Amino acid sequence: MPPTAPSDPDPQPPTQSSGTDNPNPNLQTFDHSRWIRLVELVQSNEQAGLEELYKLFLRGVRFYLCRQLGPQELDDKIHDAFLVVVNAIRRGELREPARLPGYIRTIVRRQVAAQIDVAVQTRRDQADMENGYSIPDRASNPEEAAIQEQRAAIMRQVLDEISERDREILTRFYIQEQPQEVICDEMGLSETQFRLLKSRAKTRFGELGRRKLVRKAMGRFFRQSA
Amino acid sequence: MITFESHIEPEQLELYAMGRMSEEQSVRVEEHLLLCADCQDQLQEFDDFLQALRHAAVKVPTVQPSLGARIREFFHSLVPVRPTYALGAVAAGVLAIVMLVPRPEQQALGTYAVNLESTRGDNGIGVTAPANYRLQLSLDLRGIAERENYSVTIATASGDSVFTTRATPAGARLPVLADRPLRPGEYWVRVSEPAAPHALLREFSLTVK
Repeated sequence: MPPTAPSDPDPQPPTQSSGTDNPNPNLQTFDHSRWIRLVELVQSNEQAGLEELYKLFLRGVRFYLCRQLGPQELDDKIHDAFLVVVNAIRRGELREPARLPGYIRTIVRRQVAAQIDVAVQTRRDQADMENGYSIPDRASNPEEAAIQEQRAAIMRQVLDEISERDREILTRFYIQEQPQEVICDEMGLSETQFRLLKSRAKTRFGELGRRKLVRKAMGRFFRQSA
Repeated sequence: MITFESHIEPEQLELYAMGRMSEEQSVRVEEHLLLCADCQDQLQEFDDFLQALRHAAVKVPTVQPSLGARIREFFHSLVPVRPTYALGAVAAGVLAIVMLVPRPEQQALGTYAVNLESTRGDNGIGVTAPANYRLQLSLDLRGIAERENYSVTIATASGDSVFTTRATPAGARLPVLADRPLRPGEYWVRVSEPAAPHALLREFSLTVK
């Protein structure tokens, strides 16, 4: 169960202006004392604490939620999770401040699970109403569909062009999701050979795909400028 | 071993992305991902690769010569020897085949990889696969009771079962090869308790065009 609704007035996400900007946003410290300090700041309602926490949500939680649930209403979901975490901290529900990232993860994961339940139930209700015969058409627009189809055709071409062994390894592991041991056994590979071949096949597939996509884009560019 | 301090190994990140990691390890990975932009980028890159590969996994249909063309080819191979006997033999053979051999089931044009998610993007609705292909399904098991294996059924919109199998999960995914090609229509892909196929655990919709 997600934590209960807060009794405090909702804390507002801070604005982006901050005097504590990290010079390298990719560099996050994993120091436990950082989390203890951050929890203290949030508990005492310090703006700097809310800002720091919100930055974490803007990148890390956004990434997680988007990957799990897609981009729909992403900002609302991030905001909901932020409120839940801030209010839980203020109520003193976070017993080990040093474990703040783990706590955030748990909250966000519950949010994802709840969202899945809602989506499944909604779909079931829709299906009940429509006797299970009608599925809403969520297809992409014709332009997107054409681009996707073009990309898929290029990728099929790439898969055809790489060596048979590379293709077999990629297909077995990534598409058929066969365990590594099974592939090694059936293809007569050692674990090291498998890892090496898989890594090379992946690189070749990626490089060839990128090259073809660039060539295609260049061709389109020249046709348009002609 | 995944630690906070070091980046996630690419192999570990792959397993996580494919839902093939244990719950315990996933916790560490997800906590790290919350904080590490470099690993987020790596994961995004891998997700893109996997998506591209799954798009590419539709095999190009193998073009088989028609029955007539095959008969002609066979006939031509015999003509230099005895044209009349050969023609008669071939005609009789073809007739026997047509009369006696039952028509085979619809042949698959290839294999198409389909990812069915509980919710992502379009709330799990609107996944489309081509008709007459074998389907390599990868079903999202997140949030349902863990079992050693599951019963998987593909049913038509009116509830008639067209394919049933048992499948073993790989982490939070359930790979299933539906080797019976499907005709165009709306389908349900149902995951049930292995011992009680009517005890539905999860259901995905699938449109075949």
